[in-house]
Amino acid sequence: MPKTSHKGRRLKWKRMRPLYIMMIPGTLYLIINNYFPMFGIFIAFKKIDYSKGIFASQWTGFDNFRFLFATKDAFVITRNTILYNLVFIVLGTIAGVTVAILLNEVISSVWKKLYQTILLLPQLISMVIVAYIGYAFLNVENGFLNNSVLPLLGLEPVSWYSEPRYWPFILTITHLWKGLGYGSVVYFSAILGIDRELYEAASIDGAKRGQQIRLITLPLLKTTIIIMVLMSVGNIFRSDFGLFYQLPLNSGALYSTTNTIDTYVFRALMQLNNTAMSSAAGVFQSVVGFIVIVIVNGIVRRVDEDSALY
Amino acid sequence: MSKVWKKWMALFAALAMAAVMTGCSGSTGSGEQMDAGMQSAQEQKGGEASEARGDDGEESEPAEVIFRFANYGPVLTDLQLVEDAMNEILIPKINCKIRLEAIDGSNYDNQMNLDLSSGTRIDVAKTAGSYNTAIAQNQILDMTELLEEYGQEAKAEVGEKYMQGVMVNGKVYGLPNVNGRGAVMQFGARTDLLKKYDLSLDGFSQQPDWESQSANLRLMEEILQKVADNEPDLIPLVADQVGNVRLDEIIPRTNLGDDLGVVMGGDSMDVVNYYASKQFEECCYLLRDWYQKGFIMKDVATTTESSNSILSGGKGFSVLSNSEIGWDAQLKNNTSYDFTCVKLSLPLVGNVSGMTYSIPVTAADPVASMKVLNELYTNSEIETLLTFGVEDVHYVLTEEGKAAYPEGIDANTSSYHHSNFWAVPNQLIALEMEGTVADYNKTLKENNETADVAKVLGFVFDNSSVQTETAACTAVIDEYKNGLRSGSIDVDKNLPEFLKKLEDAGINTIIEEKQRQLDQWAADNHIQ
Repeated sequence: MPKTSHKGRRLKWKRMRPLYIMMIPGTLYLIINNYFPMFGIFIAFKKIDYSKGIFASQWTGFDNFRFLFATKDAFVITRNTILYNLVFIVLGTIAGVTVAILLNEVISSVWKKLYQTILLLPQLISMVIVAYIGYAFLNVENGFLNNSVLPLLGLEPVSWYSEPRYWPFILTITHLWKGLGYGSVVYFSAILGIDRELYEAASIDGAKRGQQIRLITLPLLKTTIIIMVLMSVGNIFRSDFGLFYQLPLNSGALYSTTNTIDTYVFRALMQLNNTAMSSAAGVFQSVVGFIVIVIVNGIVRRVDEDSALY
Repeated sequence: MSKVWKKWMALFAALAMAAVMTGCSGSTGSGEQMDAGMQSAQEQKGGEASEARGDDGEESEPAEVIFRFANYGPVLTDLQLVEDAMNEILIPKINCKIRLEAIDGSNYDNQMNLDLSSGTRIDVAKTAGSYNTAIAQNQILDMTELLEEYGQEAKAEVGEKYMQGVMVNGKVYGLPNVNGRGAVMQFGARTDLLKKYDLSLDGFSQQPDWESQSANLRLMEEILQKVADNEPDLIPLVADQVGNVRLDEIIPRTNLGDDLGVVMGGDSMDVVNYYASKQFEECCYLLRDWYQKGFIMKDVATTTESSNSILSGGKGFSVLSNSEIGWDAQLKNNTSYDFTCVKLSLPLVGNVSGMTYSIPVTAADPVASMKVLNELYTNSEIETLLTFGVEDVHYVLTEEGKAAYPEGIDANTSSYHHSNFWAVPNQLIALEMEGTVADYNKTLKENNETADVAKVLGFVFDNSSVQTETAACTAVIDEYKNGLRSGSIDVDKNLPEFLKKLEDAGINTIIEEKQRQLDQWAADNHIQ
């Protein structure tokens, strides 16, 4: 008995070996890029003195974290970061899944490729250029909206860059437009992985398209959706700096709805050149992200153990 | 095989020696150990060592000095050529060799921080970030004594009056770059349009403070109104910087390192909140009024178009800027329109530590660093090489004896562009640039000598105890400054909100701390 199990293990290892080899580059990347830098966390608790070096510098406890909570803006930036991320996660997931299902329903492979390419294109455009595209739409005097669209609807021109209330929509739309192609790719490939026979059996039993989607596609996508959501939840205290800094053209009048933790840190520390304080901001975001991901995963595990990340 | 083995042995021996040497410089604590280390090192090195370290400077090897500066333009591909030309001058003169390291200006501070924290050797450099932060974080060395011994000429070149501006507790950590300091606020308007509407700028005069500017401002308003009425497609007053018409800069003040707590005028010693001052408020209301009258472009706070591009496109009439002599020539160069310019304010120098050159803590031989720094501030040939490159390769002399790009080459195609002219250690001893007015450097130098310096010049604020408040206040200012300084947001609502937020962010803590340090400084330096 023990002999066969030993043999079985060796057989398994032989089969798995290519997979492990394929894993090496990714693992190395993770170690170098994500694990080594963690070592620097202690900088956030130091008062850096270059003549002593970072190791011998004085410990300061949580002093470097204070600036994050020093003003009333602390509430605004935390609220903005979390709410935008929640909206992005919810809408991004719904839109991604919808688009993936729709793509799957397109029969002509030419059209399918074309749609995919068009959807993926914005992902490849730099945020700086997106900001200029936005500017072309929103410019007060010469913008497309004020010049062509609003007069057509009989509306007054809007001074977009000084009216904070429009920006939650502008930012959300831009984020969805930019991220949709990429977001739907994962779901689309998950759908392709579903056994075709299930659909065949369903259609023989008389299930309509809508019923097939509701009763086969969505339940089988659930695990993928949960994993994707969990991964984005870990970043709930981070924001896409390009989106929140470039797109509003750093307009002060819009801060109440466009300022997030990342842009605040950037603005506050631009001139101070203080490494320790910016590290503190990073540590804060990571720790909170970690806590949130553990909590959400715990909830998922309680509801449906198979879908949890670990 | 045995050859390879010998090589390895040699390398090992060299490493061991290096270890002994570092041992001797590292263990300054115990004298005995140090002596022993020195002895063994000298024994091993034998006669050579004593020669290399010999006191008779003529025979010794030239010391190498790594000079790092910020490059504000395309990559300087011909750095080596310039370096060689500099060394031809420096080696015979001070027995030092320079090695140039140009770091991209936008990345300069980051790169410096990274290199200094990892102990990379840099011997002379443009100070990264702000002067006082660099001192607080021990990034740069106290050079007072070195300056006394090897830098007298450099000190003279900066001028005693301005050397005050980099003194911290009686010590000097860096030299301010030398440039024109007599800049004043000026109003420049298109000559053709002035003529067309029979307007004149003769009525303007230089005034010492905001209150006495009222005649100037009334006149300006009349002119702008006339242009606004007759040229509806034109922007009467173009903002010189994004979101900043710069009108408030005619309020004389010294910002004491940052705008968080300033002294108004040249003689005051009271730290106040500038944004809460009567002058700033009046200025904001005036700007708001002008904005609503259409003098200022509607999306001034966010436009991505520079003032030069607006003016050169023929879309603007006038602009306010802080400038030295020859601003009209500059405007003509940049926009191809003729401009008439008048000075509005008087020069007041309150801060000279904005750009400094210093000796980083990682310098190998501070004496050699100081010698080279002294040359960088006093040697015209070195300065011209640094600014314009090698003659007939990177620049040619014009008929007036100014430096110009050779035929068919410009800043983007040159292998050593001239765009760093304003950031070199001593701009006023290099060649003058093509397009500047006659006697440019000489006039600037004279202006420097006559310019008023604020009583607080030399006070450098150490913000290390109020970093939290500074970060918070900086973020608040960022939110409102463009709107208020361009008239594009409502003052009644936003100014009080702004001041409230500043207070919440702790500006008063900063002001108190600043006042305390200023009083201390004044007492230490016997200033009443």
